[in-house]
Amino acid sequence: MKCALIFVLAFAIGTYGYTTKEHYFTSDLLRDVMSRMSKDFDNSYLDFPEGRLPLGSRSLAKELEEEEQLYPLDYDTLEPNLHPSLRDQEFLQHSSLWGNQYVSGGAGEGKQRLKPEGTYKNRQEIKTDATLPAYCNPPNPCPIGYSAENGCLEKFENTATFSRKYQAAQDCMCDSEHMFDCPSGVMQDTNDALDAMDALNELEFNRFLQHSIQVDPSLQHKNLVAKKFNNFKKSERINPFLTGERLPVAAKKGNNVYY
Amino acid sequence: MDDGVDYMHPDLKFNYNAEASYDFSSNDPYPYPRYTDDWFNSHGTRCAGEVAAARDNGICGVGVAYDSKIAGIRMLDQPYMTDLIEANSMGHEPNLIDIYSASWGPTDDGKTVDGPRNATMRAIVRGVNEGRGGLGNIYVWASGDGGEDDDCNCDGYAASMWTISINSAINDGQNAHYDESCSSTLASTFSNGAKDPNTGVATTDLYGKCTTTHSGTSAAAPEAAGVFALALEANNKLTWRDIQHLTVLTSKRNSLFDAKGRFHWTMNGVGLEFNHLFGFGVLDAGAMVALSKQWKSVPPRYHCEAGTISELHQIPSHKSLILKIDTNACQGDSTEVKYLEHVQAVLTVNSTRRGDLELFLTSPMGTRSMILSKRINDDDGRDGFTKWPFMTTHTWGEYPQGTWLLEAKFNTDNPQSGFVKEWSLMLHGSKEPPYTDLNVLDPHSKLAIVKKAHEGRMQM
Repeated sequence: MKCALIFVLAFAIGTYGYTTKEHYFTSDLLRDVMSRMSKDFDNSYLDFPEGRLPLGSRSLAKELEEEEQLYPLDYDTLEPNLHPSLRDQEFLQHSSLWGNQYVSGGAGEGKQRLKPEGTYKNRQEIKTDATLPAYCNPPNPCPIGYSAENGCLEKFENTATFSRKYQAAQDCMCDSEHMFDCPSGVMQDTNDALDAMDALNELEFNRFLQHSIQVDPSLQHKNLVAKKFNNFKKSERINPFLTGERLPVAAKKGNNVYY
Repeated sequence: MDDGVDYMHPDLKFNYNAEASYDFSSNDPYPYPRYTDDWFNSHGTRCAGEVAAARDNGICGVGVAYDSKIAGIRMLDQPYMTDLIEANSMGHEPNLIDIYSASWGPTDDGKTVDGPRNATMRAIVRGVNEGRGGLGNIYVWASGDGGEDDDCNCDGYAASMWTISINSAINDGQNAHYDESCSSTLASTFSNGAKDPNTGVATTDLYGKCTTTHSGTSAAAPEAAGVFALALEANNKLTWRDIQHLTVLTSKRNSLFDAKGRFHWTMNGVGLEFNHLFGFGVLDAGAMVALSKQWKSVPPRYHCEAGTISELHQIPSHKSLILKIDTNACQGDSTEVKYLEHVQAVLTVNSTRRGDLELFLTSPMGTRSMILSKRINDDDGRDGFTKWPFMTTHTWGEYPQGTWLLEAKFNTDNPQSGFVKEWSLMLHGSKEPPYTDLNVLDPHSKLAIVKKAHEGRMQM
């Protein structure tokens, strides 16, 4: 049953991207399918050559030479070893697909009328994994030997207040786990006493932020946008490091140490 | 590699290397930490201070390697982690950066089994092979804070041969209660374990402040990074393996002990004392620097696939399964290993409850490593381990020829069942004795003991 479901899924994907006729699977999907199948079929339908087994079973490269294990299996080289069985499984390898996915469909595409009477026009929607959520960007003060020409801040105060205000001026996700209160979109001056200590007031700060972005846009935060000057193109905000499969890996050691 | 560095801190700013730094969380060259109300992102700044805080300036404390330069790689501060970020961090400027220190890894919940993914693994291998002008980057890893219910051999970063995993010891010589131990741990350094949080590690904190509460194995790993920096300062020709050999030979047992009486100090086949909790002991910076100065690089390293058992073997519910591999350690082959460094048991195992499984590896010289301990919270009954490399450092310096034993058993009263599907034994080390060119200055030193053992062997 599980297997049948997988093939339905595979078929769906195959029809979806039928431009390359014989390539129906992404290698990841193939690997996934294989690993499920290997559980169901106990691998007996296929004898893999030594050292090239771990499809789906994630193996850590022990040596550099063994790194090829990590590539998807090339079925062409397997041909002589394939034992025909009563009902062979079918495999085709797809070249790996890279880059971001942009998907549209359903009611988010074309002209459609919603509600039984058709009184409501649909909205266009494109779903993508191009920009994953990011927190606010911290300031980039100039280290020794650097100046504003290097795209960093010369006018900087190494205080919590400065960083708080700098980040509050950005249009970004509030980190509810580590911020005591997350304002609802609008900038707030919650702590007047602290603000009084600031070298910059809010308006000046935004102007200053805007100015510092203009110094050298190529070196500045790609996804930093001053709230009140939201005139940057979307493409300038993409941090390429924030793309790709998410791993459940990060845990800082030492933050959960209790006495 | 952490959540950023306050490089404007008066105790750090002159020891900061901006050129080698990067901010992967924001994609710019300035890894200044992001503000949060709880000052959560102070971790990297605290670790940086332990290594490189300036001396004699009356600010905060002093770093272990106060003449070193610290670079910051901000890579922990986004709502998720990706292989791309890890790989780019660990491969960032491998010729400008000598030592990478990391205090992060798979979640220490006592039931996770995870490690570096494809790109990250490549980055580490590349760093070790090509970094630092071919001498190899040093990756220092905190063994983890999962406590006794976790095992850092289930953390593929700490368990890797290419990282030096560091555990912690507290004021009175015990291991810290949060310490996660495993046979891949090489050595230990100080961290806080006392009731009073202010008896922690004194170091720099965010926004020019100081703290005395830094704690966890993440406080221990940067101390080790600092000591390795001193070793490289004394001898900048040391390879990544030299650093591991130096660590083994100069770490001290001192009065380190397991207060719970579970793990005792044991001598391996060539006279090196080890403990499951502390590795070869606590780092001794003075001894390491002294030995570094006269060090001769160790002979080439080989990798021997000593044997594989791939028949299915059932693990009985209340008895041990014992498997044997007889090996000549690739004698006569180009990959012959005569003097061990790391040993890996690469295992495919499943069981009805993974957390109840315990695994032991015994070398031909009789050294028994606990390569997997009971993890009471791990209730996995499906995934098991798939070609997972369990690593031990305990057999360092030993001769690998002979019979290796793998023991698998369930440490529980409840009936369980499981299978060892595959066991491959990987031996890593040199063909030539590693310390022949070194002069023995102290006849009681570990170097003297191992060298004598190796010389005795060569005459046989």
